[in-house]
Amino acid sequence: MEEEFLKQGLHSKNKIVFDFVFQYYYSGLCAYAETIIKEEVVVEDIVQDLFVTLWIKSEQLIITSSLKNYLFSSVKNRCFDYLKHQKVKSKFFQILKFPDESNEDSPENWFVQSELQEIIEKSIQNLPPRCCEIFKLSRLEGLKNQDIVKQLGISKRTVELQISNALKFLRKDLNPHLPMFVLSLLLK
Amino acid sequence: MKIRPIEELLPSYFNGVLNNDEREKVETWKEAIKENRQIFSDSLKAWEGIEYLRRMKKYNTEKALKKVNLRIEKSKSLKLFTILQKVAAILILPLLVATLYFATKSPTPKIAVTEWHTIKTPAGLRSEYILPDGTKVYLNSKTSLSYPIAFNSYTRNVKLNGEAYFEVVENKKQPFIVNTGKIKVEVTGTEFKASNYPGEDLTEIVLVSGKINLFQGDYSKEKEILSSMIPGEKAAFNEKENKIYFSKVDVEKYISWKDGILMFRDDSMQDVVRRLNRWFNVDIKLTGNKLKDYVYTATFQDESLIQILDLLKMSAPIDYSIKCRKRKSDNTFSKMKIEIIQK
Repeated sequence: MEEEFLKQGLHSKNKIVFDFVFQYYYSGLCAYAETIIKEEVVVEDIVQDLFVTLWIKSEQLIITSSLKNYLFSSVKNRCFDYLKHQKVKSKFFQILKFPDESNEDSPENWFVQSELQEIIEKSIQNLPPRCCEIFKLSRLEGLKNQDIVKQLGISKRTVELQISNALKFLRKDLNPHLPMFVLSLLLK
Repeated sequence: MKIRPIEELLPSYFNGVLNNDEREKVETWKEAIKENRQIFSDSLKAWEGIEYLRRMKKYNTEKALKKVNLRIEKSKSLKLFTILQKVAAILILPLLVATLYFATKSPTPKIAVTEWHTIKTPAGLRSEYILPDGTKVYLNSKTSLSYPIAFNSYTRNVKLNGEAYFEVVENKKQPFIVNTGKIKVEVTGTEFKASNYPGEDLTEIVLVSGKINLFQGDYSKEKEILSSMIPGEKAAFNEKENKIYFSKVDVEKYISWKDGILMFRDDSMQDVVRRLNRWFNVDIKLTGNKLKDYVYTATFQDESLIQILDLLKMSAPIDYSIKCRKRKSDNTFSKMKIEIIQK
């Protein structure tokens, strides 16, 4: 019922619904687009463009699938359009790597922030305090190990150990709640 | 809790910072028994999930929403504008019918010939003009710009020789087209500069705001668009290589001349001299091989050529001498000649 309400709201230019959908999906759509295009600025432009079009052309909006499916597929198509355009450019000055469009990618790989945030942050809070602090600095704030060493005045070895301890704990704690990622964000 | 050493390596493995030996160690361990593989894939899953969350958190949703709302507001006012246009068209229609009636009655039908008007700036001077459509152009030294006395109703065509900065009045229905020779620029409303000085084999286009398309050949719906550009981008077309190079640039450096400011940002001495020559209409020569490697950063506004040369002298081991100007047979004087020498 809620899904239909949102679609109807978008269709009839309900600003509250629009803002809600934007806030709910924005960061997830950006992070997803980032797996296709590496530049954050471009990614944000693509997702924002999608929402502007969604509003302006709302009368013509027909969503047959789920809203989530519609938004993520649209972002994906826009990303590939962008890359194709870049490829035309590259004819003139450089050759760009073009990811495979048939890439393994199914709706199970699409997440929004709220879906991950709760389970992950709850698990991290369950770590021993020092371990939790170090892990957060490393994984959520993206600090390098050397920076943590400097900031906390502890040895590099301690940092590494705490992070691997945390991972060991989290893989057990998170596993039942996490969907499988086939995104290969990290591994080539 | 005792942790097995291999598991200790996993975070670094996922981060891609292990050396070859250690990486192989992890991979052998992973393939050894089923249990290890399970530990590995569970760890990867947790790691990726957290990485994914970190990426999401980087994005500032509130800021983005404000931006989107602003764009939506803009599109609304645009709509109102098109409605007003329609109203205006209805008002004009009766007038048009009357005009057509009298026009068709005139005995000799005229063939429309585009009459071109050319504006020029002499060497060493800069100027600004307003074109018939309200577009503002700044012309740099030794530049000419041709435009039809009346733009046709489909396009606004201009031809450029030299360097100019355009503030194009927006009109999506009548794109503004700058012909720079080999490369043409299509604009609907935007600020950018273009240069194609003869004898340099280089056409440069720098976009400040808005959006432009580069194309070749005649303007039509089927025109071959080479590329579109985004603000802050520079396109450099090299005629000899027949190639376009795109780069992100500090636009200020490329457009400051329109406000009478001469700006150098890590520019080679050769570039500095080339621009000084054009700016002051002089002839500076560089003597000494190492001179070409110097890079220079400075901003000048009201300085005279001599003041600039003196400042150059203070920041690089160079000296300069000014040659006497020669009186030519037609009683005019030759350009001022200056030689910059490596000390």
